[in-house]
Amino acid sequence: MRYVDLSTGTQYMGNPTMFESVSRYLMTNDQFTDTLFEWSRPLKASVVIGANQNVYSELNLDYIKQNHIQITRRAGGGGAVYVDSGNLTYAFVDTDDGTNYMNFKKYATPIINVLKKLGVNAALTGRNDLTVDGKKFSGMAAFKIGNRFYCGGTLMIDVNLDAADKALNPPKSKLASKGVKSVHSRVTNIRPYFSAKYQDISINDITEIILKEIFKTDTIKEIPTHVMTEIDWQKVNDITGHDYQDETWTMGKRYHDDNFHSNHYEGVGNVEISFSVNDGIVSHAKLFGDFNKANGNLKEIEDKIAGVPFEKDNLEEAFSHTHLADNIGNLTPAQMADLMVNPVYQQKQQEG
Amino acid sequence: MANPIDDSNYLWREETSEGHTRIGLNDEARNQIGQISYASFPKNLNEVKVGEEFFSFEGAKAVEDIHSPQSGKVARVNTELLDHPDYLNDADKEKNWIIELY
Repeated sequence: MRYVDLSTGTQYMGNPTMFESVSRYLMTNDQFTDTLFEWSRPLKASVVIGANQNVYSELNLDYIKQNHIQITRRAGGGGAVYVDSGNLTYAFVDTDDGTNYMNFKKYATPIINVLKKLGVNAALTGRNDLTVDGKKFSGMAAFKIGNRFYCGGTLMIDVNLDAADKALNPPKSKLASKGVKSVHSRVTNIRPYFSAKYQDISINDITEIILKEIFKTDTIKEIPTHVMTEIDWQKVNDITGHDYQDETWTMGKRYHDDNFHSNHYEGVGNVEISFSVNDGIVSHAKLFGDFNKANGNLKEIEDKIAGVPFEKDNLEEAFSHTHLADNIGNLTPAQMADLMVNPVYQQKQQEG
Repeated sequence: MANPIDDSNYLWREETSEGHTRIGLNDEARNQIGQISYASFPKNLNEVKVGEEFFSFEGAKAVEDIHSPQSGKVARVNTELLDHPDYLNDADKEKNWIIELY
């Protein structure tokens, strides 16, 4: 096992998706075949949104612009998160041996051990959340390329929670009535839970304790380390440039549809549909959401809904051929038809 | 009472993989009607009965209303025809289909 030192890449780390790019590089480059550990802190505040989310309905774009917060879009699904220099992002890159991929407990354990030393009674809750006192301070994620995978998470230590709350809530908060906003109120920074002795510990000192725990040593210098070289960074930058820095990819196209309907489904997430109806026929439909289906194909659904009469029965028949379980999650055709025809789901979008 | 108008001579019908019946304009119709310049569907078309109008278009030689050869609920219509009525002149069934019923 080796520690990958990213401190040589300060000039590149301004982009919040750079950490994901580094991870992809460590997963796919032939020179790395062992278990690796890396960590990073975002230099600037940014919002990272999921692959299928609609920035115009998820974010407060005015607030984000005024406060110079960056927006980037990750390749995977899931919801929007706010990160700033109060976050500590860490990851393991490893080779699948049949027991370790998606084994969040294995990779969370050293982190939990360190937090316990600092006085935080942290626990792995559900499949991949770290919580204290019932409040979430870390979400974990994993993804795989070939037989190599990434498993990591973000620790909220000194995050500006007020800014996070504002950036992630569009004006006329569309989700206030649906209980989704409360997700934000159930997150916390962990610093208030540190014991008195560690109240003022710096994030860098925390990472040193984490490294010592993971590598079972008292001396940082003894840790086998790969310091990222300029050549490494160039290759990482190539990955970033190709995948993540496209403005149209980040912002998405602004659709001027007549209708925008949204609802939260337990176990699936938010599902949103922007659509227009002409003379009783659906003329255009575009899906958004924070659901997480790695190989979900939303276009397959959108194409089959265009041209369908705007009536519950007809839409239900159409949705029954759209492989909802594979493309979005555990939703019935009737629920999707209802999302479109029932006006209670109508939401307003901000201009953008 | 008059029999329902039968336009089936001008239409092809095929079952789709989804079990819908897809209906489109056939070569016989194309030969008789000439270049098509306008197409429209009736408003709020969600169900049709045999002989009911489900589509109309203007060709060089005629203005025609098309009547359904069978009853059924409307699965979807080919909205591409509204912007591209000339697709009806194309022999490609992926272009000249009009409606799917279930």
